[in-house]
Amino acid sequence: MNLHFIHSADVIGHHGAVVSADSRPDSRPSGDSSGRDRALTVVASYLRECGIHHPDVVRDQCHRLVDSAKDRFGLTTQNGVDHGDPFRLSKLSLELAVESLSDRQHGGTTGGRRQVIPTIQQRPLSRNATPSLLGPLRADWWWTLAGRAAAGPARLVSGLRNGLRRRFRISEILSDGQ
Amino acid sequence: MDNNYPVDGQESVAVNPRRTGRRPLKRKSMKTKSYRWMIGSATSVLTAIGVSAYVDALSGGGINVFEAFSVVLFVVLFAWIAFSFVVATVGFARRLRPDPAATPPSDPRPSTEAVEETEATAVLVPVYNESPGDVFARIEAMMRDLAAKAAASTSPNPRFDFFVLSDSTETEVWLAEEWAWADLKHRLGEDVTGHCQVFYRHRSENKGRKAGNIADFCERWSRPYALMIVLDADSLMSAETMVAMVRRMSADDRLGILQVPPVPIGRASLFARLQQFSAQAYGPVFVEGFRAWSGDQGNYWGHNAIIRVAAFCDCCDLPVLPGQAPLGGEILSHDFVEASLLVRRGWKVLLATELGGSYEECPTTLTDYAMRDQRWCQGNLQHGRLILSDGFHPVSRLHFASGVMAYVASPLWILFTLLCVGGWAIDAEALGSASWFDVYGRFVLFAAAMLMLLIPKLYGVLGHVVAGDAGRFGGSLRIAAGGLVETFWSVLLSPLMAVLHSRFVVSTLRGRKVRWAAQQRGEHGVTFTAAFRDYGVITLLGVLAGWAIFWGASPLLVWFAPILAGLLLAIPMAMLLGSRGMGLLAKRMGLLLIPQEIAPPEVARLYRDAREVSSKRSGPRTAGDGSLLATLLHSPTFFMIHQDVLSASESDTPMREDERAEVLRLTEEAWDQLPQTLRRRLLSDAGLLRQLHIRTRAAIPAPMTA
Repeated sequence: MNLHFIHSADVIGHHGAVVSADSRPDSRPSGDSSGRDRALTVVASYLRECGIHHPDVVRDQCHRLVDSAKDRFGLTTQNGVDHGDPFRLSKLSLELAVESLSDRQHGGTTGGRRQVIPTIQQRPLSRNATPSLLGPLRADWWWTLAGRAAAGPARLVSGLRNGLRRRFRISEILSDGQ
Repeated sequence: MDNNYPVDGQESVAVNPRRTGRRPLKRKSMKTKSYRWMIGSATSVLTAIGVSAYVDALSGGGINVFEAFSVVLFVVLFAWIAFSFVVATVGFARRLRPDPAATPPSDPRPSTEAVEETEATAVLVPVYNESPGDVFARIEAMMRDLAAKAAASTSPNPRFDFFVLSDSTETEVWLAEEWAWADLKHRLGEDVTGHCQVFYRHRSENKGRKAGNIADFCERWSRPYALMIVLDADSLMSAETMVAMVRRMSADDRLGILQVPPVPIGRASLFARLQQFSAQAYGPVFVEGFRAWSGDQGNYWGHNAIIRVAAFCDCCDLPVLPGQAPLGGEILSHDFVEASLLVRRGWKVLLATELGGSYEECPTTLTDYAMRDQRWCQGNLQHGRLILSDGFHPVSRLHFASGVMAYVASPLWILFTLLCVGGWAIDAEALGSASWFDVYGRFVLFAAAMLMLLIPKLYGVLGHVVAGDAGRFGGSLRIAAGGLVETFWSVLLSPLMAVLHSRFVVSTLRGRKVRWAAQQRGEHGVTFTAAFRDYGVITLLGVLAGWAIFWGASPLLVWFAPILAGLLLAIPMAMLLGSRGMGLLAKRMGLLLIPQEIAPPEVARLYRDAREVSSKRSGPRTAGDGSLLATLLHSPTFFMIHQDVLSASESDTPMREDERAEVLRLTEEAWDQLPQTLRRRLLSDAGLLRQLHIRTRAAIPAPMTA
């Protein structure tokens, strides 16, 4: 980004209002040549505000941009899209100017984008679950505690029962064999 | 949950190959433990004595139901006062006889190891509708200070990259930030940009508030950085402090956060000067005591701290609390929680009390202060649940409890007072003869409580006098006089703050917000209308309370006089305290002076200069209705800056078709009727902005031809 523009050439606005081109019919150009002249004027003013002051550069750039825009304008006019919009050429030329300036800044040696902020490099954050309350304040903690407390006697009973069954089975087998 | 907390210091030795011996760490750990025992025991003994005396005093006339409840509250409140008093006493003792082993050297690098020169530290400045001129003037001051230090230093200095992380929602502030950022970049020379850069990012949605803002940085831009310094919009840090912080972090691999306590400077109103004086005169005593018991499990105050990025990304994603707001949902006050999340994974969180050069600004009026307190109140009350949650270190629980008590203590004191009055009222014998007072028990207790509140102020003043640095406050007499003035005002303000805090607690618990007029920044007075609107009800409360006490228990009126005076004088006090003229008068009289006024630090001088430059420089030439948004549509330079910010921040968010149509219609027919929400949405839509910019430019009749 050419920050030289900021203070040296920040000429903004000439009539002090945000006015649409379409809302000012009295300023409409009458024909093709006046449309082109107007587009050249608008683009030249834009480039100067962007800090391009050398007259030769401004002139060459303006003609190049307006000619490119006119090519595009001619095509769209044939399609009937821009019929009756005398500012269309100015708008298209400006669009190309904005594009060109934007490309120049991003691709230029100043590395416009990197000047705003470095390139994004994703880094995942580890997520934390909602913290649960301390054990004694949770019902499930008491259930677990009760379950563990009950597990001991239950295991004892079940062990005793299994032992008794095994002994019973052995004695049955022995008695069948006899 | 991870309940296996590392024993203090031991894990650090195990995982930190740079440490060569266990003894210093073990000794430090033992000291911290002994301080904890000492403070715990002393608090318990004082509380036991106080409660016993209170019960004795009550039992003379028999304990009624009000008094029985008051005993429960007395235990909590007296323990809280006793804890603060003991911590201040320990802090005072430590300041009188500093322990050389407890204070790291100013440059703790091992001699064989140099700080990585190429590794930059990120300096984060999250902003939300702040004054862009002031924010960027502070950044400029810090950058110039860093550059000057680097130029003067013979050893390599770490690099710093400043990131202004904007969440601003007001379009004019947002655009002014962009302009101020571009202007600063334009003005900074190679001598500065060779050592530090300044970047800017704007989020179209401020998800997760400040914590979300920092998390967004961590997720997208933190990868190249090992360390980040987090600042507030009003923070200022000296280059020396920032470099020292980086070096300490580099020297200790297990240090997760190093917090440098910020001191308030730079304001002029009487209220601000009272805060500045008390923070600088008494603050060190409390901070030193706090450091003694917190040890490696210290706390983070949200700004003016350096953080290890990998640890932060690994541990500090904020959990969502169960339930709905105000006490559930998204965590509002993130700092304490982030510190506790680091501590529970074994990271150290330390307080660097011996490092100066860490500054902030304080509110200039009582109302601004109250508004800030209200925000903090809800955040701190949310922490109540975390005290009882699984997996946190006991010391972190104490930090949470301290935060809760900072606000809950006020309604508890009011309730306690009401219970006492109720108890006396139904105790006919006691009231009739006033015999309860013959015992003097309550008088002694009241005096003891007052002393425990006031003695730490004396510690603060004495500490400076004994240490021989009272001259930094204008001399022994002036610091003592300042202490008296501050004490007078704090006594008058206490009941007012108690009522305000109680309102905040009650309204937070009810899920409501106390309404205030729009917050104003900077120095502005308080008009009678504003004071009456904000404090009229409190004055009325004072009148009613005074009448009730006079009517029901007139012998007690003298004891309630300081409380009633604070309430009755709320309106004139708010006006007087907010007055810049009164503050400057105090300064001319040599009262409430702070060291930074007598010998301004270099970074503060640079800030003043940068602010002057910033105020003299004109912004972009305005167009249209004079707003920056209209100017943006006219100015190619401004338009390019904004497009670049949107593109680099990846925050281009196209509007819906119906919204676009509405914007196109309004910008053409009735620009001034374009609502703020649509303006904000428009600023995030790069395509539509471009369309409007070209439309606007095409309509300008240029005076010259190509």
